[in-house]
Amino acid sequence: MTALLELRNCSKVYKSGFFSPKVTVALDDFSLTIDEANPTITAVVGESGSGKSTLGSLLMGFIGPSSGQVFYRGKDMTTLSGAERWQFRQDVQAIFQDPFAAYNPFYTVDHVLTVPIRKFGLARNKEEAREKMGEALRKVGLRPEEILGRYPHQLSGGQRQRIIVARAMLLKPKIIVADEPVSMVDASLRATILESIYTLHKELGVSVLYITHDLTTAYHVSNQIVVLYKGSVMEGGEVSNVVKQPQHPYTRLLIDSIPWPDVSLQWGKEPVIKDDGSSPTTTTGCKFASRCPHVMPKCREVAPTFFEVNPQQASACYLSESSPALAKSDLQRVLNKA
Amino acid sequence: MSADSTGRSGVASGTKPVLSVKDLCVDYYTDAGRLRACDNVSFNLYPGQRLGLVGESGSGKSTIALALMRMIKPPGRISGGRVMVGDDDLTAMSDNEMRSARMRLIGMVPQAAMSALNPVIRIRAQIQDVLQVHEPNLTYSQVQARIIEVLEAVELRPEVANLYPHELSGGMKQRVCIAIAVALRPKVIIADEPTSALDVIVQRQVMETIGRLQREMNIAVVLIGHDMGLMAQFVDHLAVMYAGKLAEIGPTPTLFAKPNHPYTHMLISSLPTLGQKGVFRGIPGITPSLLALPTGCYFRTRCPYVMDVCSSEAPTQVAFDGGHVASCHLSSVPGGLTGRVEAERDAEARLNPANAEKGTGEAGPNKTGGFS
Repeated sequence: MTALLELRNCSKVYKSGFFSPKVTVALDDFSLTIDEANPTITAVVGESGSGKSTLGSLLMGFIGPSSGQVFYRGKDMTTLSGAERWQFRQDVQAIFQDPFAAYNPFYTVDHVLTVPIRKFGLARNKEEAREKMGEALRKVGLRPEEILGRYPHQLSGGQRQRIIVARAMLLKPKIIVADEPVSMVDASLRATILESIYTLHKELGVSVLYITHDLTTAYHVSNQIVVLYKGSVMEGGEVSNVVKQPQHPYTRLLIDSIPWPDVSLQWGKEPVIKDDGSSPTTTTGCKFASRCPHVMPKCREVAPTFFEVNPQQASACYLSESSPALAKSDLQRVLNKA
Repeated sequence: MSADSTGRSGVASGTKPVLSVKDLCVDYYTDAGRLRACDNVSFNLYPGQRLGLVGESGSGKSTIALALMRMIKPPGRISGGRVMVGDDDLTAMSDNEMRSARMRLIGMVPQAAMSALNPVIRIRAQIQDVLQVHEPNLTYSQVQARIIEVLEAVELRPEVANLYPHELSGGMKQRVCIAIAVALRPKVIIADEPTSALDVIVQRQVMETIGRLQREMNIAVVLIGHDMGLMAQFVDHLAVMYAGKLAEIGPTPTLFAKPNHPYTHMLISSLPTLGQKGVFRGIPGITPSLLALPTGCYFRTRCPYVMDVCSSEAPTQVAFDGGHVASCHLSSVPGGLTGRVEAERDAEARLNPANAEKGTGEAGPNKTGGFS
């Protein structure tokens, strides 16, 4: 069976400067498969600059890879016909970070819902369109009569973000790419938005790629997780395993940096080592070596491959060397078990 | 009535507060009518203390920050109350006096570090600006030495002074803003969501820097934000704002262990922990419009424990042990909020015994034994 969307050995390299270009590898030989048959929520976690948004843009077809290929229903993205591209645009929907910038302030919020209905011919007449809009809004826990006809500035950030979720759902997509959907929303409203994404996944069988830097929400929402650092996967697997028993020092640092809402837990026991720039994104060694508290000489020479810590978790770190080694392409197998 | 917190350990009873806010009111005059964004807010802050000010968007927390700096612009106005920094009454100062007091007595770390710095001026000139205006007697070399000193205080290399803001990362820009805020060694710093645009690791590093400066320079910090997790880890006193009013104020451990206002309780439980997976406890509804506030208690429209009295009477502040003050009618009900929450949990446990067992207790990785 062909996968719905597949990244195969994708790299994305950005160059800046004309004469001696400074090369930044935003994504390094990354592969990921999203199946239609068993929808999942995959969390992609990492700090700013880890390549997680580049990954999202690749999946949505906003940018092309520098090397490697992106496949949609088994066809290379660059060779899609017009009709297939149209289908792709309906199947893959996006939820972006900023619920303020996603709206045109001159239109009422109905606009973001009516445009896709019109473009994709989802309704035969106005009544049906209105009904569809109402239904989509109710699904994300909003009351249509309070929302329709209003301007973006009259609504709260949480409401606006939920309308964006409703818009994505209107098209009955197969995949939703959610790039930091809750990072600009009040902490108290995050739960409601994540809940609506989660129920949509459950009820409609949509796969979600949840891009975030927040491991706690990733833990609650997703089935499987991929931890990225400077474009390379550090650790991946079933989410409870990775979050509760992190094996890679980078995952541990991420978890240690979460401010827990519990005064008895001390924040940040492991000190953050500053990046001294000795492991650029183009290094052949481990990219985390310059910040790793457990760094060994071999880390700086050859990057570690994945080690299968347990059947549902793989870590790219020599600290897990005692576990069986995995080829890079086997990561997807570990993820699929989650 | 005041929400004083003198009962804490560590501060002798004779110590004077470094920041004292009394019955502060801020009104905005709009076409649709007058709205009160900050309603009779009182609190005291002692030297070296860290106070957190939490609330959702629109609860008035940023208005307080601006009012403390006396930077409320028309149509807004400070319509009552007093703000004292040490012995200086900020609300009684002339505009010129305030201009000299700003940054010298009370500094501010703005919310959006990205837009707080001038994009076409080097970092050096932006720090120099503050020093030259407030301390005109400094020589050129003294100013340069101070610039390097403050940059090093926020853990930036001295070369950063020669860079433009676009050459810095988000965390570095926020550090420059902190450097500017502490350049004149103020007594109080107001940090308005200083890390809202940063990722978890950078957030932790920036907060560690603010914490270190606070200890070293004995500055009092007011941290404004909506993340209860960050508050639990950083501040020692917490004030919860709702619709312009103080809902609850008290020492952080007490507030987390035994909140006496349902809103505080809901803010805490809305945060995801590593307990039961896939359980979301958001706060339903939205903050009421300040132009159309409900009668009685402002929180009653979203409160799960609402009673008849809540719609007719606004709750008054009730003091508990240890400088803990809350405004909720439940305080006069036997058992209070804790009783209600426990009753609710018991009811849930009867309906769903398996979940209730798993749901409590687990909070972080330390308790689940994840770290070695």
